[in-house]
Amino acid sequence: MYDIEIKNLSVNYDSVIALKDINLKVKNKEFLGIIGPNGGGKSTLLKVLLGLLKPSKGSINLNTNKPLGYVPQYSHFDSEFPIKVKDVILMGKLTKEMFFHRYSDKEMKKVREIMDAFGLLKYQDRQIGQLSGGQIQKVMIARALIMEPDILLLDEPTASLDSNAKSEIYKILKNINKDKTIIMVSHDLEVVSSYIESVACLNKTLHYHGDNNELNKETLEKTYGCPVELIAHGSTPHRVLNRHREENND
Amino acid sequence: MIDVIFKYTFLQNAIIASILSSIVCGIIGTIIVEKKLVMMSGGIAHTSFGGIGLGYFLGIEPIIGAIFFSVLAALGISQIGRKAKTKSDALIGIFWSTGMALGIFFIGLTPGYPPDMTSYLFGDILTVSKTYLYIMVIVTVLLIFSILAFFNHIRAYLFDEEFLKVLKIPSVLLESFLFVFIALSIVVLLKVVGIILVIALLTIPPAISKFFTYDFKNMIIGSIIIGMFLCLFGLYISYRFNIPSGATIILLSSFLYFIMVIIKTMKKRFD
Ligand SMILES: Nc1ncnc2c1ncn2[C@@H]1O[C@H](COP(=O)(O)OP(=O)(O)OP(=O)(O)O)[C@@H](O)[C@H]1O
Ligand SMILES: [Mg+2]
Repeated sequence: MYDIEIKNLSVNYDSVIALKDINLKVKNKEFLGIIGPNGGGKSTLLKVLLGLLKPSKGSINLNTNKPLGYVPQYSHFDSEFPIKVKDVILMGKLTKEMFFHRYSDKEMKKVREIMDAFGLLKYQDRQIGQLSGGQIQKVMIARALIMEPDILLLDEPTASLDSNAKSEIYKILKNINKDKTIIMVSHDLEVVSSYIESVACLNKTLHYHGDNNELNKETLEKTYGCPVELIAHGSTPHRVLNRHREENND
Repeated sequence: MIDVIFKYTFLQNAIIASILSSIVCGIIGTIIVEKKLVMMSGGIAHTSFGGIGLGYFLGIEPIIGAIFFSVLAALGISQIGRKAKTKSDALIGIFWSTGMALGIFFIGLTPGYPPDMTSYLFGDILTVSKTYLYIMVIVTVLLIFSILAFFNHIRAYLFDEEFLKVLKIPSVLLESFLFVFIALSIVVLLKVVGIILVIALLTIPPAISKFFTYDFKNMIIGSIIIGMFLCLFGLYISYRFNIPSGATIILLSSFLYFIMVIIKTMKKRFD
């Protein structure tokens, strides 16, 4: 039933407490948005789920035997490294079988399909550093998708994408969500309100987890510790934009 | 020149050593340049002096001590760097100086006339023994086999370690394996061509190779070919004009590198 069960989870960096006593259950095929202020511990939560960080307390149960898909907030790789776009995406297909590992024809075909869907096909043989920031972001998303994970974690995946690419990616994610569980960190409250059904508010502790439509202004203000624009429930992103314009005109 | 090669075994050995060194340096050099491990490799090479000193002190083959020390340094730098918060740059300095100090310390303790350490600094490709050629052949074959066997994972490790951890692939194992290989290669080359030429051969051919390609595999192949050309041409000049081989190869290498830089900038200006 639950794909992820987090119990009394705390995470410290030396003396800094990043997460404190988190309890969270994520259902199978849930599309969960995580929001919260800078330094709220969102990236930390994803990293501890991935096993990149060790919890100081508490436990995590994952109901999958595959590695989790991951799109990091920042990529730490050296963009000068001599590797082609195609080969970066193919990394998602690497397994523990290291001895004379070669990519199969099926995997090569899959890569071409996914590059086509992201409009990356014409860049496939370019060195990774010769792409723009948004294009690299697309490569990172493609690399996570090609893993075909049961659970997909995305840390602000659309931060550097234009609005066209954004809605393209949300369409793809929505489609994947039919049979996968997705957790996405986002600062973009509009997106959270229009695409995602459940939401978690994180600021060191978990302030709220539940239906997106029942999220109210008080909870948000408590999470962020300051007044926050109310999310326009059930409305399209455009309406929110309109309201901003009207305010500016005043 | 050809008839001279057939006449003198030392020239034959030098040529074989050049070719083997170029292969090892092309592979290891591309790896350390792209993973920014040049300083660490220098550190490993110098730390091994402690082992050479220990070898003399204990009366065993110095290179055994050197291998022991360099492998320890390679693993130590990676392990301590991960656990303690010491910057790896500083850590390399600590190992580097401690290793050299230990070398001098042990040699001071060794009774009798002090051995000549300069051969380890500058080496001499013209005096390579048969035994070392055999050791080099073994290291070269092992290295080629490993890079072919683990190519996709090694490249992925060099490019994005974190993602390998996400995939639950034991990246620490891969790292240790690579570091031990770097240490072994450096020590074996050290005795043959000397530490200065090792660093030149590890860095210059990959740097030149990168002017021509953006592909990791091609960069390795390019480095090997460029390294062979530089070594063999350097040997020829050094034999012809009777100047030290190591210095000739290094100067030729950096000369070619700077020529490439100039061509590259000129090309940019006229494009
Ligand atoms: N490597 C680290 N060492 C020490 N403290 C860290 C480290 N990484 C994060 N922190 C601290 O942990 C807390 C949570 O950081 P985290 O990166 O999870 O925040 P976030 O919610 O992802 O923020 P943002 O919206 O800016 O991405 C912050 O207070 C931060 O200062
Ligand atoms: Mg973050």
